[in-house]
Amino acid sequence: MSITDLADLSPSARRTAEEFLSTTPADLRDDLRAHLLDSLSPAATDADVRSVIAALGPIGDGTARRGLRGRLLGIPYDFTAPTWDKIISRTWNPADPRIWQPHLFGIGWTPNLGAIAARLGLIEPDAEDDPLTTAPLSPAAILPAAVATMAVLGSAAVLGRSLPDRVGRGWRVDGTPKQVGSRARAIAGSIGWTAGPTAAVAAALAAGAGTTPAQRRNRAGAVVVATAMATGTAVDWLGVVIRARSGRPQPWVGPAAILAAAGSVFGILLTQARRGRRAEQDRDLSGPH
Amino acid sequence: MPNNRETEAWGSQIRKGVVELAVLGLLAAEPRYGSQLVDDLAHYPALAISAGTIYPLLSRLRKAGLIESTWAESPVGPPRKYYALTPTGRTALTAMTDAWAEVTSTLNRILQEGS
Repeated sequence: MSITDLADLSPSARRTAEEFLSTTPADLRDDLRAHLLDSLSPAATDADVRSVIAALGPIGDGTARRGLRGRLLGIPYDFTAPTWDKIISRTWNPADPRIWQPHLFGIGWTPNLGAIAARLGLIEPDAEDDPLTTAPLSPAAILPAAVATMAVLGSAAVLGRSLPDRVGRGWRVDGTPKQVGSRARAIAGSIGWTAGPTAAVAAALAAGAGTTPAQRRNRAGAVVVATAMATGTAVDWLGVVIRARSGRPQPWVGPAAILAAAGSVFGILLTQARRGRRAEQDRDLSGPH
Repeated sequence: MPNNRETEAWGSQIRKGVVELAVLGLLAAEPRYGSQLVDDLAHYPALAISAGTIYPLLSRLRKAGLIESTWAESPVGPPRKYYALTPTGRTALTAMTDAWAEVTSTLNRILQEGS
């Protein structure tokens, strides 16, 4: 539950928030205040306020910040810090009908998977008051990354020795490799880029439910990024193996890696949104509250 | 002399400014769910909005503390999320209604004098 005024905070938390706002450029203050109100609950401590402030990154001069974000010839660009909060708000916002949002970092667009889910009728635009913050992360959120890791480990164990000493890495549009490297390095890299993110997902889940919307949203953002890395890497490894064994270019790998990453992230976020909807319904439909 | 497109753009800006007041006004009568608000506003062509507009608007009003949401069982189909005015929302609606009355009466006087 977010707050509507800084007065809803405890005296020490309110002092920290107001001190922070007093140091920010005047043209950013309203947006920053709105972000604090959105990210904090009435129970937020002084530490929670500092955590939300820290996640914003350097505020700096308003003019410089404006230059980091905008549009050029109709194409959006955003070079502000890619915080977990920003990742989630751009990639899962069912209430916003725009499927394409400004890219998380860089030039271009990124898909708003929440808008896609709403258009497909898989979730209501207002299923949750505050997306992905109502219910704790489902333990099942680790499944895509874990499966990706197991697939890489298993295939490396079974097929690794049969691969040539040198294998192609990276992908061009026509499916030919960008570079050629050692088999051992390819295996180690694939295991590292799946097991590492899986461990990150496990850590986010083990960290607990989180007490503030900002904490829950940050953890969801971390899980999303880690899952995309793990599943994309697993498909990339599959392509390395098939190409090495067949000797032929595999142009499907790039698009498949993107689809695998997007699909697994979509599944996690949709599941989490439905859990949040169920939590809200249980709260409202179970009797007086 | 503004062309039709400029006039339509101006009208669109006016509508954007008052649709919040219209939504608060509808909710003052009774709690409603999102698509119900879209259907109700469709009865007033000058204020008709799409489903893509109503949910960001409701989210904004809820974060401002003017409305609150509650899931409720539906006579047909799955539960629905209903929106209702908060006490703060009722106060804001009264103030906005007064401001609107003042603006429209002043503007009507000006337009009558000019015609």
